[in-house]
Amino acid sequence: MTGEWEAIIGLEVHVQLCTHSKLFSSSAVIVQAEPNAQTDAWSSGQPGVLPRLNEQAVALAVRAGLATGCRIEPLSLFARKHYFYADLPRGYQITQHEHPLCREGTLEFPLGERLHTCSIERIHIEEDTGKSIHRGESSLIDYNRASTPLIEIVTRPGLRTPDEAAACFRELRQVLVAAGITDGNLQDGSMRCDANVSVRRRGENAFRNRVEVKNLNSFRFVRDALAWEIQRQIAAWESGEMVWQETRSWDENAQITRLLRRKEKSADYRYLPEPDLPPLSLSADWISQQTGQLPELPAASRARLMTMGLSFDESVQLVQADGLLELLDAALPSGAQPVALFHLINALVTPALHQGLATLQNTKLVTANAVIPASALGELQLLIQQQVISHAIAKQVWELMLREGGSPAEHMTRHGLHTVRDIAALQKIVAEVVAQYPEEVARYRAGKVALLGFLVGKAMKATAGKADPRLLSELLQNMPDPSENS
Amino acid sequence: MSNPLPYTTQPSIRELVEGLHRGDWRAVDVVEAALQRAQQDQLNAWLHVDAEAAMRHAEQTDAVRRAQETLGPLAGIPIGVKDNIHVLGMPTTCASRMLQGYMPPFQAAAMTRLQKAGAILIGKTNMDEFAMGSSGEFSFASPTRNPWRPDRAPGGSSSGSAAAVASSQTLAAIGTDTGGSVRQPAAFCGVVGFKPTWGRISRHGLVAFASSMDQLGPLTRNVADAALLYAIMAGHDLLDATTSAAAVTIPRADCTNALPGLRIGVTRELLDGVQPDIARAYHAIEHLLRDAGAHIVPMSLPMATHAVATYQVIAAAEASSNLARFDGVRLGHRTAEASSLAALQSRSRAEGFGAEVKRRILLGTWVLSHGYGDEYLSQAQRVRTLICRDFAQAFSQCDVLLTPTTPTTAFSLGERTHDPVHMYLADLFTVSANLAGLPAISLPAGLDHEGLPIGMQFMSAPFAEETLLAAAQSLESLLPKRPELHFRAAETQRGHSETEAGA
Repeated sequence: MTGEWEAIIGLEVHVQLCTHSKLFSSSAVIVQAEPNAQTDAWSSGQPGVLPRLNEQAVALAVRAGLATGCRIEPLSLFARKHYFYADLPRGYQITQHEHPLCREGTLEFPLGERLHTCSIERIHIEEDTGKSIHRGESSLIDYNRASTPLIEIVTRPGLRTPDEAAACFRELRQVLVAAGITDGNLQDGSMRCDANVSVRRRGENAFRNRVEVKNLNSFRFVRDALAWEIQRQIAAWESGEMVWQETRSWDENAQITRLLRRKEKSADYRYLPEPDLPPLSLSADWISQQTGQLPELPAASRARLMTMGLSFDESVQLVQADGLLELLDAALPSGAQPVALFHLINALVTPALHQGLATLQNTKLVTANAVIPASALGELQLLIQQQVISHAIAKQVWELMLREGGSPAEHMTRHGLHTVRDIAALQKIVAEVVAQYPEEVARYRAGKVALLGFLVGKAMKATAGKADPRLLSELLQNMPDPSENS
Repeated sequence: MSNPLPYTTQPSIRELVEGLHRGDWRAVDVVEAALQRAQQDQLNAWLHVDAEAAMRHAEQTDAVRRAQETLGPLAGIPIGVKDNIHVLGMPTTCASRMLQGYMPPFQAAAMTRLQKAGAILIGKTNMDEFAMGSSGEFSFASPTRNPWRPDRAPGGSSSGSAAAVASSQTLAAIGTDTGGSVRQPAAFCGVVGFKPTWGRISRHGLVAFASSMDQLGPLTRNVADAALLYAIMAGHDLLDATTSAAAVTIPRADCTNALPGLRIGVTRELLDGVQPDIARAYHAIEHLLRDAGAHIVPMSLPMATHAVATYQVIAAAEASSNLARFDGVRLGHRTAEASSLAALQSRSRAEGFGAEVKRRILLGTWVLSHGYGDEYLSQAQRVRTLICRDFAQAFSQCDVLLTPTTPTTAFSLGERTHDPVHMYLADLFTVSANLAGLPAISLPAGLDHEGLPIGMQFMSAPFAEETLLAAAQSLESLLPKRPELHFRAAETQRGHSETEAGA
């Protein structure tokens, strides 16, 4: 039955801009500050203070628009959005309503084998609210976050599946982080995604009631919440029930969405043109300067990686992993081959990062005792390429580097990790292996070719991984037949 | 110092500054006399007087003068400040229960400019609550009385500022004008009130009422003093993004010859319902101006009849927004007990705001509400645009426009407090300048049959203050000097205060 339903999904993403100061006042923006340590007359709603627009915030918002292919409006307006809540210090939030800063963009995002496209309706600037902390009977309010700069990115309802929505959100984050617009930290709320979703039968033109699922702060939550919500709506319609226009939240533990509030009529925010801020007027020159500030964005990075020989999947994978593309780029000047370097990063760096043995800081890997520059990684790959060391030795060298720092060459010298290419020494080892595993040798000779790998492995083990595997393989293939000797 | 203090001889600020400079008086004498009058005030002109700080500043001024160091153009001049403008060290209450005891954490930019010029801010003047009113009666404290007749309203909302200047308690006071709140009380009290172009004076540190129209302005005894204070307060300010960077120029203080060849627009349309004495005064001044060589140009401002209604919608909408921050959570009045956040907010507001403020907040909330925005606010914005167009058209044909400042002279206290619509009509001639952001000045132009002051208003194109002030100074020079008016004001003052030290 579900086959005949389709989902219509649109995202609204709030993004904290990484500015030094607040959107309308000069207080610093630091995430981990004591409660209410970063307030001022504006952020605490004192009467008599006027907003002063932060130019850096405008620059970042414009770059967000440019990075997503939006049209930047030369003239945009601010408006007041009214509601009463304790953590809203003035009873209104300054935002942009009918005249946003950016309109009509597109975002290409990878999913499966190919790129998909999502249309962006608008991006506007607004100030954040404070935070309420409820403790039993009492509530505490922290105004540190009040008036920190946000952009809200609104997509068109062109997404059709939870996977598309999650992938779109992920790419959006990738683009904004790459462009230096936000730190993209989902746990800390630097990006907060609300998803609007409705379902309809294929062929229907009209939209049915939509539900807004609030505050989805991971890609998985976006996917899981939407998958669940779509099933809920389909089940409701099919059993003749109503799907209400309402706001829901995702309960991660129960893996269901829960009702927050029902929107019987749309909320009345009593929008008023902001009289304290003149229209935001941007010259074509200034906007083009912002274009010049944009670094290579994920789409271009992927294309460049593919010209280096990486597959589409590999390029997607590398670009999605925070900091690894920069690491690879910084390691390339060593002369390492890009694809091999990618595999080396996958084999050595990624597990180290996952295990918490190292962190990435500006193309350097920082461990408890050492800092490993990207160039050292390139050097390591180069040694493999030049067959100075095997992959197995490279792994040992890498582990030493993680523990002690230093260059690959140093470790090789200190620990005698050069590949053994002494034919006589290797022949001796081969002879030993042949003697030790007569049965396998016999089967190999009888045509079980796959057993060569097993024998090479045993020989490698006997050399503590130092042997040149290709040499070993060659020697094993040409090993003397013991029966001929007898 | 043995020289009698100059209050009853009506010097200008410049004359007083020159006297101080010559050593005729010391700043402490001038400030002490002002403080004495303010402390003995029977008109309820003041909400707060900081005698200690004022005397300290006066002593510093005298010390600087003794050291022969440079002093600003207002050195030693006592000035009153309307209680919706932040002055550090003094509470800002906006004459509201909501803000009783509120100490602002910073100072208004324009007040800092006055202080840098040497002015001594002696206290905060009474007003209609949050600047909403035309009579001074909507003060949480007692209503201010008109110095000319204590049973009459001084006008509003800058009621205390007008009364304090008219009764010679200070040489000057600062008010704010959103729909006429500087000019209308100036007219009722027989002093000069000047509202510059919107964007001329920083609103940083002014508690907002209707931000798109609010503007600070001086109330003084003569036009040159108003021009002087304006020139000091005006100019671009980084703390107010809506301030203009245009150069601030004023005519010379002795410029009285601006009338020959000046094109002065007059309008008959709005005179119909006006008090006959005021209509007569208007025609008399028109003749005076023509005789002085001005070209009188009859003007039509068809949209002006809609100005009051348009103003009420826009001002209320912005007021409902600006006053939303007073919710009992962070500052201001908080109700004693509330079981929920919503109850805390609504009860604090219900208790903290007076009737007129609530009326405007409700009206403003209504006109902004979903479905009504188009009907009221958008409509009002369109009419506002048409009014601006009317004026742009008018100022292509004339340099300044002459109108009465008010349709009547000072009405009785209590006469209109229960008749809001009638009260709002007191702003008939003044609101247009706020809607269009124009500069406008009211100056005393004789008395009515009851002996109450009549005010006449000049308006000009935006940023044409220099022309406007020159016209006003020139007209002022043609009007009979009437020191007796000021003596009468001083007598009224004396009549209420037997203990007043003679000046």
